[in-house]
Amino acid sequence: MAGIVQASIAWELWCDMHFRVLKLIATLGFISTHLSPLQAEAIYPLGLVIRPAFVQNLIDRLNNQNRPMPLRIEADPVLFQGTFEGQWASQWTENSGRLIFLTELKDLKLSGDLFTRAQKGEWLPLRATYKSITTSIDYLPIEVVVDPITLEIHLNLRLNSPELIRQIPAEALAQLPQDKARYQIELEKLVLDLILNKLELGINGFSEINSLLHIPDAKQRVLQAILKEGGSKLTSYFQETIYGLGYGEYLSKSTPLSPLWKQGPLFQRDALTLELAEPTSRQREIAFAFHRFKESGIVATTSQLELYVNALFLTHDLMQTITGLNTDFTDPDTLLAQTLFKLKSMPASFSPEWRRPQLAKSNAELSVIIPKSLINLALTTVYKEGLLRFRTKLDLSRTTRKYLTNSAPESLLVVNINPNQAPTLDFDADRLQLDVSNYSLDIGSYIEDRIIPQTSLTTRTNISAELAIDNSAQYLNLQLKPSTFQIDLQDPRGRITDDEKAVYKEVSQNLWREFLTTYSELNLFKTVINTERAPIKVMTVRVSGENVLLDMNVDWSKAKL
Amino acid sequence: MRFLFIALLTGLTGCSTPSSHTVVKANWVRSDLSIGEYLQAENSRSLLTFVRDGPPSTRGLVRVFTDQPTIEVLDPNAADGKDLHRSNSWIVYRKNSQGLVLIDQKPIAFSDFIEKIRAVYASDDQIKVFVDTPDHKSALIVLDSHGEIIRQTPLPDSPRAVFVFGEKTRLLSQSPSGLYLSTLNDKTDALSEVTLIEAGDCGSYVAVDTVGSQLWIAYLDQENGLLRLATRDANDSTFRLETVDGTPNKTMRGMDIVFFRDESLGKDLRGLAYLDAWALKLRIARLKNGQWRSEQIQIRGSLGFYSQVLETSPQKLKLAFHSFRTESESLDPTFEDLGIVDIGLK
Repeated sequence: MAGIVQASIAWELWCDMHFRVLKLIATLGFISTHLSPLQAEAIYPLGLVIRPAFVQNLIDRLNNQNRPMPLRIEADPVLFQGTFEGQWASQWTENSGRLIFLTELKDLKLSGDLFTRAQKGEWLPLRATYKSITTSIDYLPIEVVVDPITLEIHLNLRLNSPELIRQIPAEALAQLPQDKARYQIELEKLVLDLILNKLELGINGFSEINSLLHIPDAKQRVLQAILKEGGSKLTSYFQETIYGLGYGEYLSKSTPLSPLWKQGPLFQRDALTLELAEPTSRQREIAFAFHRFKESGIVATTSQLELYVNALFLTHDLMQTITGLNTDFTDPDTLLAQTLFKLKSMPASFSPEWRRPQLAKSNAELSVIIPKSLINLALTTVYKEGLLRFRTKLDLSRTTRKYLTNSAPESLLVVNINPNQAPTLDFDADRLQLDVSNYSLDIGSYIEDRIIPQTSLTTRTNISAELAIDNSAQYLNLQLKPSTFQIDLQDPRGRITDDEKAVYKEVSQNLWREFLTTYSELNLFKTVINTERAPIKVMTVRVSGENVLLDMNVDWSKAKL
Repeated sequence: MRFLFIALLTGLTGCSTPSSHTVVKANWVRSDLSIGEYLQAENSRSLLTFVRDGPPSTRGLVRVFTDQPTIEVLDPNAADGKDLHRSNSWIVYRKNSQGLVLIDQKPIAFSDFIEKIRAVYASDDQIKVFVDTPDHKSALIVLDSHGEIIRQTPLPDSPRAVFVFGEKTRLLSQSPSGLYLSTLNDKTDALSEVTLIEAGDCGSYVAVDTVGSQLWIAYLDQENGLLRLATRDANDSTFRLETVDGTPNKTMRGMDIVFFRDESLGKDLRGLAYLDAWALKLRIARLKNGQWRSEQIQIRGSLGFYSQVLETSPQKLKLAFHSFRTESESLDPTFEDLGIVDIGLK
């Protein structure tokens, strides 16, 4: 029994990790696509790969804790409320072609209080002075089944367990019918009897109460209750935690510390200020979401389990299209919740053109699969929404103060920084390179009520970046490397001299390096599930065909299970 | 940056070239005050503007009588006002995002969602206010004579000017693709007869006048830094385009444009006064023998904002303008001044 509880914990953590990793994918942030709800071509599957090493390490970790877990079983007219503990088998095996993990529990121990139904219906202790009920079984083979359609989890006894069959006396086996089908049925009955015989139920010191346990099929009912309870708990946790593999949150909530939402200057040094050019109220309305495919998306192989979800950016307009609600009269949180509900019920599936990625072998516990096109589509979306428009101000009255009287009014040199096309992420074999081409620096002077345009420079910048996880802050970060920042300036109109261009380049380079140093870790996403429980480390970033693969391991030494 | 630095530094250090012979006389009105933004001329002797500082008796939305000079405060709470417009004696302006109309000496707020008031066109009983809104959209707000909104209509592009030509109400609008003229239905606010005047980044500043049977539209070509002029007859559908002043990519001439009658050169001729935005100087352009001739008005400082024509005669042009920074030969510079200049026309 304890093993089932530990199985429950294992699955909770498994789901927890699963969900977290999917959200990590999400935060890559900006990974998304505008999805017209009925357009299959807009589907971009994000994948999560779970390998046996993850399950193995998780089980090892759980077994080492050896902590009894609570359990409540109702089997009228008896209620058991207590704890159970046990050891999961250290080696799990997968059943090829089906989402079934075969495992076993050893040294299962159950202890707790026994109640019976009173006349008024409430549960009362069988006897005020009774002590406890105990049970134990040394070996319980179980199969853990995930229903790929409903995502329900079932725990079944493995009645074809070879180990148990070997324990059946030869004479009993010899009496089984010859017919193959009937032989199997009768054999499983023998195995079940063997399990029930091994299951001892008893109450210490009060033998008269034992008679209550001699109701027909008492042991079987207790065992079934344990399995049903365990499966139900796992299902409930699984679905509540990952919302049936659906998730959505407004970017402004998931990345509250992002400079994108910062009021006032992003960066200020002497007379130089960098700020967002546009108010971001509209950007706050964007949510990132993912949802599972109704009819596909889970693939089990002999070496790993792959799960794919569809990711998308949700603007208010798109949410209105999906839900039919008027965004002017609907609370944003309600609008998002309704959108997720609709997405979950949509019969979306992979487009026929989609092919499951060919994945190379990896020793990592987990991998995340991100289509490259999805990242750049996401960047396009970000660009379209104006998240990357900045404005730099140089306070001329301060810089020229020595020439001016102290009563000089404010006059500013303003540089509007606008991407004329979306930034793209280049994918080298082992690194990410953020490349922003065709950025324009529109340089002007703010005087009186206007910006007087001076010139417009086109730029190309690039900077190396890598993904990192801030486990304490529960963020996935795009970690920029300011020292690698490069900028190239062109003056297509020929309005400034080479010397002036060199000055602008120097100022721009220093400004951006300063900014990128200040904001070198861009918080892409705040995880809802506590990563302090099981910190994740990105081991490698690999490019495989049209996908980027993040190989990750759990830092089990810091895991809090 | 070079241009502004040069403009500021030369202005600040008094290095501008000596005044030319065209300036007859320049006066500064209440140079002790921050005054002169968003000028609107009522007649040759009175102007509407804002006074930003000074005692309560002079601060706010004011009427300035230039010949005395005296100041009449119209809205003492509008010291931070912007986008002042006047049409058919109605006065409309903005405080932060609030639009106001002055009715019986009282400011009446009609909207709290305005980014910029672009144009106003009023009849006796109706005021049409053309605005940009904070959500980067544009709209026409129609008010009754009590300042109540009668209707509000979205506009596809940012409005710049509204006027009557050929017995139809016309609207000039700037879109990302260029400067457009359209006909505005007075009852339904529907736009029709949309004509592209010039493609590109044109029309952030405009001025409109009717010259004989011709429509003259002056505008800033911000892409190239030129003051451009589009003209057409009432029965013509196409515009004739020409450059009035500026050299592509070397200048930025044509903000705060205003037409003036230039009868010294011929009947039905117009000249233009405007801001050289890189030099921060007031310039005028005149059509002499079919050719545009322009010159900088030689007044020390960084000036030429919000220019208004107060008076014209065959001999003289009287302009009001705002000076960001005013230089004098002996005194410390002053800022935010209202200047009145008489320019001789030969």
